[in-house]
Amino acid sequence: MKCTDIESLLYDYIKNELSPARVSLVKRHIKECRSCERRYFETKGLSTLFNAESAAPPKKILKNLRKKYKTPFFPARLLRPAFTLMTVLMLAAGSFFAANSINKSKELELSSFLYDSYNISVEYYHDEQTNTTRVADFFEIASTNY
Amino acid sequence: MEKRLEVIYKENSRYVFNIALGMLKNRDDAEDITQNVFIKLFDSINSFRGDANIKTYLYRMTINRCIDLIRQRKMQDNKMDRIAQKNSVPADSGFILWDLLDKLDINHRAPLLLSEVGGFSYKEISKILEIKEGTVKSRVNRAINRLKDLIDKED
Repeated sequence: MKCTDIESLLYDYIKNELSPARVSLVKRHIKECRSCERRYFETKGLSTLFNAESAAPPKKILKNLRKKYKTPFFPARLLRPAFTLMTVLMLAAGSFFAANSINKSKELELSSFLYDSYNISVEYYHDEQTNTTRVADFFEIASTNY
Repeated sequence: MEKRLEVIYKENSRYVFNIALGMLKNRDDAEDITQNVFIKLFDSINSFRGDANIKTYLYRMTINRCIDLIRQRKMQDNKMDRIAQKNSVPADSGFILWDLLDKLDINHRAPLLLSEVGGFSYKEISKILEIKEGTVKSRVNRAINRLKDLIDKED
């Protein structure tokens, strides 16, 4: 391959844009040809220049972008899980209070039942007493008459 | 700012800025272009499917806006404006690279900057500039050779 052909391939070689076959050709040539080797290093040197001249963008660009695209305190993407969590917590709290109130009403029910049962038994006792008295009276009357 | 946007900015801003700087040879213009392309990108970020598409869009927009600005400036008849622009070299540049790039045809400058500054392959550059890969290859090589000649003349 001629030096002019190799020179036209040098940049593509540096940028890994050549086929494997051409890579070997160029590699072999620049090993053997000083002139092409020099051109190779000159071409490679251009990349160094670009890197050396590379500047960081001004900080105010990022500052302006941050100002324009400020994230809200509670960003929208968090709203759904937050809402779900709130609903779950409210349901749990509601269930807890509801359970408590059910228990309370059952207590009341039980208390009422016991109270009523007691009263009924007292009445029954009194009734029994009364009945006993009546039976006793009957025998007394009966014995008097006989 | 959302973390995703910050990441995109931090990964690409240096390349975008330096490509704009290489195209325009003017720091203020490069700064404006950089900010504007990121705003345009972030406003439509949800319409992109992947990072590769984002990069293609970002750099294509950078090059196109630079070319538009260059053409706009060329149309200005006011000689004083032209002189002012010619003198507005990057403040922190100690070398003439940007001056030399200015002497390249803009169609050759763009693929060269995408290759050297952006680190894109010829295939990626062809997608960004919407030209054939073979065209990218020939333009980049012409740009490099012209640049070498200009540097040799400077020496």
